[in-house]
Amino acid sequence: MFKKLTLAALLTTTAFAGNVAADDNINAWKHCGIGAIIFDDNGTAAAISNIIWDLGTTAVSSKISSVDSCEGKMATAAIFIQNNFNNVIEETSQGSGAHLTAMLDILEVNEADRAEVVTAVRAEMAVSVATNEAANPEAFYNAVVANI
Amino acid sequence: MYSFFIRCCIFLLSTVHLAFASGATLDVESAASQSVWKQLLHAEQTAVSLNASDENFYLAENGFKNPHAELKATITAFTNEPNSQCKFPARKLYINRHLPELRFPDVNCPQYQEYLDAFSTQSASLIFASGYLGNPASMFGHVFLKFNSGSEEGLLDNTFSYGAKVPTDENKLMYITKGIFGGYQGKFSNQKYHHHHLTYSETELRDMWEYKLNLTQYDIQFLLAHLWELENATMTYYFFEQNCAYQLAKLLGLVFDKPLIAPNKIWVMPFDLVVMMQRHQGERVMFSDVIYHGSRQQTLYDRWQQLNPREQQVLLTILESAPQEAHRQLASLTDASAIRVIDTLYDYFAFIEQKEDDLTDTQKAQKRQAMIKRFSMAPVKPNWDIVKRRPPHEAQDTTRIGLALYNSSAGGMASELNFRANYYDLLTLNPGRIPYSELTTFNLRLRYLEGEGVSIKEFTPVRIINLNASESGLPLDSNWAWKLAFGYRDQANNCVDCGAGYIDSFIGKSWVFRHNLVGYAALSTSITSSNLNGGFIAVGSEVGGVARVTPEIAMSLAVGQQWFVNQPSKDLHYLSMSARYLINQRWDVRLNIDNKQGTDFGVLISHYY
Repeated sequence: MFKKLTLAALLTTTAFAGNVAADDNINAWKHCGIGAIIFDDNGTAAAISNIIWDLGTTAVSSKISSVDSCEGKMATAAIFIQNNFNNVIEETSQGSGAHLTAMLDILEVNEADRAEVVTAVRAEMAVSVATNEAANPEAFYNAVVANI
Repeated sequence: MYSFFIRCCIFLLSTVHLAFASGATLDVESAASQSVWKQLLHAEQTAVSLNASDENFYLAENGFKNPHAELKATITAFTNEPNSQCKFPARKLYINRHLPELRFPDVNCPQYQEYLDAFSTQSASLIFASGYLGNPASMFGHVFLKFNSGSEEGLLDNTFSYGAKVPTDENKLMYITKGIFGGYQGKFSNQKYHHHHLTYSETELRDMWEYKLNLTQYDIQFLLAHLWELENATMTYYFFEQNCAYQLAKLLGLVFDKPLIAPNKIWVMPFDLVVMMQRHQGERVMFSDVIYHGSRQQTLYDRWQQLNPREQQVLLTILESAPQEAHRQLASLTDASAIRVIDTLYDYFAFIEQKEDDLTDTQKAQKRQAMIKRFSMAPVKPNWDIVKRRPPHEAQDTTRIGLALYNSSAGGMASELNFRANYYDLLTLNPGRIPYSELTTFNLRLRYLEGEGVSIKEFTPVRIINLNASESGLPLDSNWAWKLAFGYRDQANNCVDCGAGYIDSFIGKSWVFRHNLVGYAALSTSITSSNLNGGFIAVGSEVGGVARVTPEIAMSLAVGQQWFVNQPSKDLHYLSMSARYLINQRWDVRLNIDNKQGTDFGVLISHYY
């Protein structure tokens, strides 16, 4: 169990560079079953899903279609966005914040590129929010992926 | 010649080994008797079990009870099975430090090294999460360790938290019973800090306090090494004793070499851990700083207080108007003011979303309008003032023993022994606790009245009051004020040995009149096992309040009137007033007036530990 916990810890660090290639070829939302495992976007459910994820129970892994390719930074970032969407979208509108920084850390975005990434994501999400399009975690994730 | 040289070497080495062997025996005995070694074995606690059936945490047959045998078995294993060093890196660090003459075969531990690399730790903190009255298991708070990577915000820092492994959908009664009596196994689990932030700050709306621990790099490595040893380990969990605070106190005892479990108590609480750290600060600096991490609710209150009247008015208007009005209202402000209002609105909606389980369509639309405006503005953040708060370790201690003298309406002067196991009441100094609330467990009042002897005036196993005082007055920022208490007590002041079982409760509303003055009005019920006063079930109303005049002086008042359901012609009224003067963290004096079929008044001096 602890190995899995440690792996979960590693997921959000830079130690899993070996999974980057797999990451590049997957849509974490679709291929990792994130939409299926995270129940809704209220905090309680999100917190529960966090615990489930970190403890590595079968409740999560059984719904993940390709666990190996979903251990990398993209899947981790997707889960992070889903769980912390309130903070992430607020901070994007504000231009900076702890959750945005953490997300960029997970995605290993270079310091020099971060301002540009945030600006681009902010512009995309501004349009989504203004046009009443679904400003949801998946749309946010897609905006981030498109700009890193 | 060559052969002779080899023989000489072998002879010399043998001599050295023999000399070492006799000295090492003594050293091994000494090393095995150290408290740190015993703690590595979790001696004097419940034995550690490993989940994997083919592995054992103890290498000697009786290793749990015999630290000396376990040390010898560990040394043997490290020598004969070098890979065992990877399983017990803290034991190896300990042996290297205390028995430096021992040499073991070199071994690579790639998984352990990967674990250390992943943590890349600069420092460690102990996080104290304030209590949460919404869950019995969380009422007394929680503590966990955070290993700081050095990043400013630390959301991706690793944490270790000890808790019980509770099956999902566990029956509540079973949950409490098994939690108290050791029906669960506990373990340390590793999560990123953002999970705790989400759970505590955003979801349960609990404040957190970060104690930056004063540890060397060796200390941190030692802690991490022992946590690695516990990777598959479970220990029997006891809610009141061998809980998160106990395990963390023991864990930190590995590096602080000071007792961190409060003496003279049969229970262990998160609060006691931070207080014990504070008590040792003079002889061993245990923490260098305390950082406050406010809940989303408290952040809302702090920002609301910092808005100027015009900004507050705009925010209120937005909440009370159709969503389309938000844009016009925000446009009437300067950009700097609009940003302050929008950021406060974010906090408000995040708080309401938790409190009400979700936002209404109107609230979602209002939030969206605010967000549209915020996206259209420059990406700058306002400079909010940091509100200085007293840290939890400055609160009064939790266990109280007091002596009182009363002028009793039952006849003359009465003396009283008062004992409360935990935790705090409306009048104690409560930084780091839920404002205007009480959580009392095991409160016993023994009264001696000349000619009548000793009697139990009151025994209350549990009393919880939460006035849920709203600090902002914003729409929906109010909750029920409520109370639940049960136990045994005298039914009136003018009698002796007239006790009966009781259940008291009320539900109502509270109001903050000034920052330090809260009042409430509530519907109340009392159920008693005796009809001495006229009936068994009484319903009525209660009004009261709490005033914190200065940090030293606080007062409370409760006045109630009730009628008996089974005998409506009989009624009951009561008044209870108390004033507390704080001498210091461990002593206070209270003047109490209590009217219930007669008036008792007296003075109570209490020691807290």
